[in-house]
This record gives sequence, structure tokens and C-alpha cells, in this order.
Amino acid sequence: MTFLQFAIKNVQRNYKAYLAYFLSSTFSILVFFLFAVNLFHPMIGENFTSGPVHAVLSTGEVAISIFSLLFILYSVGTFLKMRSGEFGLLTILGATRKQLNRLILLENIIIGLAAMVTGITTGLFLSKYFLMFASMILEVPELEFYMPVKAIIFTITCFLIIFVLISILAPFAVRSKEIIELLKGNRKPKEPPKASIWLSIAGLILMAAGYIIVVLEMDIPFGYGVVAILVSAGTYLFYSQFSVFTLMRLTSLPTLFFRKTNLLWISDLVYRMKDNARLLFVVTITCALSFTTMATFFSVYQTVDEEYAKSYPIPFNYSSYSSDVQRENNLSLISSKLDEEGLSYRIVSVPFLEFDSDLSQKTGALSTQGYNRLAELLNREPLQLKSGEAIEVSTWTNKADSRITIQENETVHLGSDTLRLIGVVQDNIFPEGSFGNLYVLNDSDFEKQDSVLNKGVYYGYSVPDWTEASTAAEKISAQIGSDWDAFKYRSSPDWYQTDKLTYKLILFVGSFISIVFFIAAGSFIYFRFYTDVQEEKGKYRNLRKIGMTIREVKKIITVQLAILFFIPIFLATLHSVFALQLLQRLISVSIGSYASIILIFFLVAWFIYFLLLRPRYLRSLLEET
Amino acid sequence: MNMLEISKVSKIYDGKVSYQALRHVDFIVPKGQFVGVMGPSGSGKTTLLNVISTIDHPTTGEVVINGKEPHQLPSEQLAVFRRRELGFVFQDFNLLHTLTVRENIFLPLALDGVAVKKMNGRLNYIAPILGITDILDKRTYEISGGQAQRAAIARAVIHEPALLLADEPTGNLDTKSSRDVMELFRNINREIGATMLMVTHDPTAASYCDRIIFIRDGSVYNEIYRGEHQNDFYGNIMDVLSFMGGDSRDVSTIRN
Repeated sequence: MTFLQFAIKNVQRNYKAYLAYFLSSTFSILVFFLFAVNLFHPMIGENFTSGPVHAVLSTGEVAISIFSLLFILYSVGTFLKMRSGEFGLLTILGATRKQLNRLILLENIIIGLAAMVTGITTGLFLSKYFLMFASMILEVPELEFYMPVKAIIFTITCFLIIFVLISILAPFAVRSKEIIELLKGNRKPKEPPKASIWLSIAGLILMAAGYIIVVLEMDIPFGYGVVAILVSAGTYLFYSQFSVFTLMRLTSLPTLFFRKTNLLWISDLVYRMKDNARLLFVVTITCALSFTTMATFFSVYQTVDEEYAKSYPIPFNYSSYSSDVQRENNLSLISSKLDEEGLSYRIVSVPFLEFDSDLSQKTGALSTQGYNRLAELLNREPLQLKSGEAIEVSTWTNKADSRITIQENETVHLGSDTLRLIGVVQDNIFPEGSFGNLYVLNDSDFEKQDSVLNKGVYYGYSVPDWTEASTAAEKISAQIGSDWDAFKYRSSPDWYQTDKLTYKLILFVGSFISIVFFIAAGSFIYFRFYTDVQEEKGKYRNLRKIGMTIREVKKIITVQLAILFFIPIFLATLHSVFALQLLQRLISVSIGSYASIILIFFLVAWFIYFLLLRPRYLRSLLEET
Repeated sequence: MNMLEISKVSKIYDGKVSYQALRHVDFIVPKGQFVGVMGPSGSGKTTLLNVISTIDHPTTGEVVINGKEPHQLPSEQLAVFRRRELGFVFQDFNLLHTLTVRENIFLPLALDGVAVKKMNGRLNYIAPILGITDILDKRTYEISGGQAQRAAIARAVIHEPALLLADEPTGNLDTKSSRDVMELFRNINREIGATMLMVTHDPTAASYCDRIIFIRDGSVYNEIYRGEHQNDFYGNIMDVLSFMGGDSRDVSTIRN
């Protein structure tokens, strides 16, 4: 028997121990490969080499490869820890450092190769469906199945690098320990965990502080960063101190603690919490990130139509100044292109004034009559003003950050007039940022303004089916020219089309990555349980000998598993809810319902995950060997 | 010729309260001798064994095995030293479950890069002595505790180590298997001429040795040599144990 044979036999016969590591490697490779198949698809290559599609896909691929490295590294760490006893024995039998490292390298090569073959083969089968799904999302004609040679080479190269990196890093996990520790492995008695009441309270305070900043919409420098740090630190202390402290308190309540199986699961959980504080912290943050990202992308995608309708209340906008000689041509161009596409529309024209301002954009003014014509087009309330009065109309969409407030008796200077500001309309009528400020004046005040910078006429084309108007919009934009001193033309459907596709793609990639992270987070907890399964098995065998029923064993395990499984997910949900509050400030459409859909989806998925893993774990714990 | 020389070995564990596990232990084991080490729990026997077996380092003092000082060797050479000069038998056997009995036994030779032909030659020589010829191709979960310990002994002696170390080798075995294993140790001692050091609780197991060193509170308390008869030796061992007190309650007070 040579050393190589020994390594191969070790993997072959002990496949159970290697299974978790093998599966997580296969999973990472599969995910990476599916992505690469899309990235290198000849049609995507032709159509989107440099656009946002390519950028989003490449970013996704980079994120997945970083994730793979960390995920595999974590799995290999668990895997090596599980086998510390074996390494201790080999060392005593006279294995040198070099031989141990070679053993680890050989095993990694064997597992890595097996995982690559499995991952890529599975990927080839799945890629057909994945491509179908992608072509649906990207709204391109069916992406045909192809032999993804480039993707295969790319995946193999990347994972060879990852496995070599891991083989170099892995021995460090074993290196620092003395043989005596290795031999004893996890067998040595653990010190009772300690938790401080002050740090426990500090943890809760930190988390609460983060939440309060969000709820009260406090304005502090580096707001988001500060909230993230407060909540993360609070979460860490929650696991390492608060949970341990609470459980320790429970152990000192005799009537509770000594009741049935409480004694066992509570005392056990104290150790598990302390040992796994860092893991639970990582799982919580990973889940919170994946919820928030997914909910954000989903909400942004779902609200993109509404957002566009809000930033461009009228989809085609043409503002003409007195120097505009092209006016008739341009207007008929717009009308004819809309006609060509068979789109119905209404034109409203209103005069407007421009004044100089301190802002980069001019200050604009409309007559009451003019405003009311536009308001009627948009189904909004008409305004009424007396002479000497003005109403400000927002030039940005209505959201928390851009709301206008006015004081009582506030005045505004326009040209040579001083007008009393009597009200505000928070919804814009012109495309966002067309003017610095915009006011509606009494008709006669509007007529007699003389010291103005520009006078002009605005033509608005209201198109009910504007989401279908992208072709028309593109043709118009291509022909209309850009004599910006004479006229300004702005339309939404052409931008909408690109944006919608980009958001769709981001949603696609984002949800894919979120789900991958989510699955990984669940596996982390499962791996941790699986690592201790041998030790636990012995423990429960002994407990059953002293008269514990299988039912009771199952109950203890279920309670422990459930606590470790669900506390992170609930905390993550809570974090996400507050994170989404922050996000809501930046979006004018309410995202509550969309975000709830995503959160409920994740919670249900997590519960199903738990239902699948629990019997597996119980089986491996209770099986006799 | 001396196979093992222990001089002024002390071991102090540092901690909040530092604890001296061994104090100036001195003894010499000549080649071919079968030495037992006894003492109450916490007396330092296992620490002593760990120090000799190079698993642990002495705080002060010297350990010389077969003329070499393993604790002075760099880690790579130390590994080679372990693999060639030392053999280990553990209380819980420590066989690898992934391998067959034969493969487990070959492990030290495989680590040393010995040719398969030579491995088989050695195995054919020791397998009948240990009575394991029939179980060589079984996996570890298919054999009994006594068989597992015999397989572990085979693994410990296949490379003809200068010193065979055993830590409570009969601790997990029933009376019959214990006797078999101890008979085996004696046979190996006689036929292969191996020098052996065994830590044990069990006076019956100890009575198979040539010499017993008693350890108490980290230092050598007493030592006795075997005479003509094993039964007399057993009696002597019991006497010393009851003198020592400590946990002599651990052992049976009925003489046979």
C-alpha cells in the first residue's frame, strides 16, 4: 500500500465524512458553471458585449467566485476539524508535516476533481433550462443550447485555482495544534461559558440604537454605515453574550431547569451558542443581506413603471423657445412617429417663462390656466390663485428626501415681482429636474411679467400606452437633433426600455445570488451539527441507556436545531425590515407589499429547509454503527 | 545496553495555577526489558508516557531513546524518529475505520515508503504470533475489541521499533481478552526482543512485566522486579499499591 493508495482508500471508504465537503464544492461549481454558460453564450456575446447586461453578469460571476472560495474554505475547515483525531494518530505513527500536507492536497484533488465532473455534468443538463429562463428574462429570442467549451474551461481554471489555494491554506488549520490536542480532538472537557450582563445589555442597546436612528429618520453623518456597524455589533453581542447570559439564567431556575428534558437541552445550548456565536452572526448577516438585496431588487423592478410614470408624468416633452425655427418640423416628426406605431396621444401646449436663478437650472413659471390644462391631462386638482399669490410645484418626484416645506408668509421674487407663497404641489408635472424651481402664477400676473430671461411654449404628448412607445421614441431621438438653445426635447419610453431590461437582469442575477447565499447560510448551520454528530451519537446512546426514550431524544434535538436554525432567520428578518425602511426613503413608490412577499417567501423556504434537514440529522444521530 | 534513559525529567503545566505533573523522574530501561508503570489517577503516569513518546515536551530534563534525544530533533526528523523507533498501543486502539486491518498494520511502513513485498514479509512473520491471520482483510467494525487491540499491537511492532509504548492497553478489554493481549506482549518481548513500557491500572496485566515502576505525585515512589513466579509478583504489586494508598480502592483487594 502506497501513500497515494492510502489517500484514495480514505476518501472511498469514508465517503460520508467527505460527503458534505464534496456536495458544497459541487454546489459551488454548479452555480458558477451555470452562470458562465450564460456569460459565454454566443448570442449574449454578440448582443451585449459591453452593455449593462454583460456588466451585471460579470459582476455576478465575480461575486459567485468569491463566495465559492469562502464557502469551500469554510467547508474544508469543518471537514478537517472533524478529522483532527485521524491527523493526530498519523502524526504519532510518524507521518511528517509534508506527508500530512500531501495527504490533504491529494484528498482535495480527488474531491475537487470529482466535484468538477459532477458539477459540470449536472450543469450541462440544467443549462438548457437555465438558458430558457435567461432568454425569458432578457427578452431575447430563445438562447439555444450550445456546447459551452469556453464556460467549461473557464470553470475548470477558476476552480483549479480555488482548490490549489485551499490546499495551501488548509494545512494551517491543522498546523498550529499540538499532537496531544489533535488526538483528543473534541473530546477534551470544555470550560463553562461566561457571559457578562453588561455586554448583554450593550448588545441590545446597540441594536436598538441602530433601529431608532432608522425609525426616527435621524440625520447623522455616514448614516447607513453607522447603522450597519451598530446593528452588526449588536447582533454579535446578542449571540456571544445575551443568548448565553439568558440561558445561564434559565439554568438557575430550578423548577424550570430540572423539568423533564429542559436540563439537557438548555445546558447543551449554552455551549452551542457560545461555540457558534461567530457562525450564527455570519448566518444572520448573510441572510439579512440576501433578504434585503432580493427585496430591493424585486421592489425596484416591480416599481420601475410607476417610478417612470412619476419622473415623466408626460412621456414626450418638447419645450420650444422663441429662437426655435425647427418647431413645426419637430412637432410633426413626433406626431408622425407616434402615428406610425399606431399609438394614440393627446397634445397640450402651454406657455411658460424662465427666470435666472442661483441653481444650475433656471426657475420656471406657469400661468394658472396653463397649469390647469396640464393638471386636467394628468387627472390632478386644478389650482386657483389671486393676484400677488404663487404656488410652488415640485420639480422632483414626491418622496421623503425631496419634499418641499414652506413657512407661513414666505415670499418668492420673480423678475420684478414679489409674490406670496400660498401652497405647494408635491408632485412634478415636467420630467424630473427640468427646472430648478417652478411656480404657478395668477393669469394676469403671468401676462404682465416683463423682466424674464426666456419665454417659450411647452408641448406635452400624453401617450396612455407609453410603455409600448420605445421604438417611436428611439426613432424620434435619432432624428430630432440637438439645438439645445432653441428647444429641449425629453422622452421616457426609450430610457424606460433600457432601464426595465437592466433591472430585470439585476433582479435575475441578484435573486440567483441571494438564493445561493441563502442555501449556503442554511448549510453552515447544518455542517456545524454534522461535525459533532459522532460525539453526540455517543452521548445520546448513553442517555438512552439510562432510560431516555427515542421520542425524548428527538424532542431535545428538534428544540436545539430549531433554536439555532430560526433565531438567526428571525433576527435577519428584523434587520431587513429596518434596512428596507432606509431604502424606502430613496424610492417614491411604496415597496412594503413587494418586500413582504420576498420576506415571506424566504421564511417559508427556510422552514421547508428545516423540515428537510431535521430527519436527515436525526437519522444519522440515531443510526447504529 | 540501555534503550531508554530518563534523567531529571520534570513537567510543569502553566496556567492560572501552574501544576507540576512530573518532578525529577529518573530511571533507565535496558534493552529487552518489559516495564510496567503504575500509580493512582493523577499521579503523572500518562504525562510520563506522553513525554517519552514525544507527544509532549518535558519542561526540564532529558529523555534518551536508543542513544538519541528525540526532543532535540527538528519536527521533520522527529516524525521519522517516531515512525522508525517507536511503536504505540492505545487504550482505545485508535485504528482507522476507513482501512482494513491489513492496511492499518501497514500504515507506519507506508509512511516510511517501504516496498509492498517487504511489508508482506514482515506481516507474514508477525501475524501468526498475534493470531490475526484470519482477520487481515476485515474492516475495523467487523472485529472484536480483543482482535482490534491485537491488530493495533501488530501495527505497533511491524516496523520493529526500538521502544514499544502502551497506554492502558487492557483498559477496554474483558478479562479473557486482557489475558490474551498480555500473553502476546510477553511473547513479543521474548521472540522479537522488543523493549516495552506499559502504563496500567490493572495489577493482573502488570504482573506480566519484568519490572514495575510506581509513580505517585509526579515522582518515582517505588519499584519492584519480578521473581520466578507470576503469582508472587502479583502479590507484591498489590502490597505496594495498598501501601501507596491513593486510589488503591480502584483495584481488587482479593488475591488469587
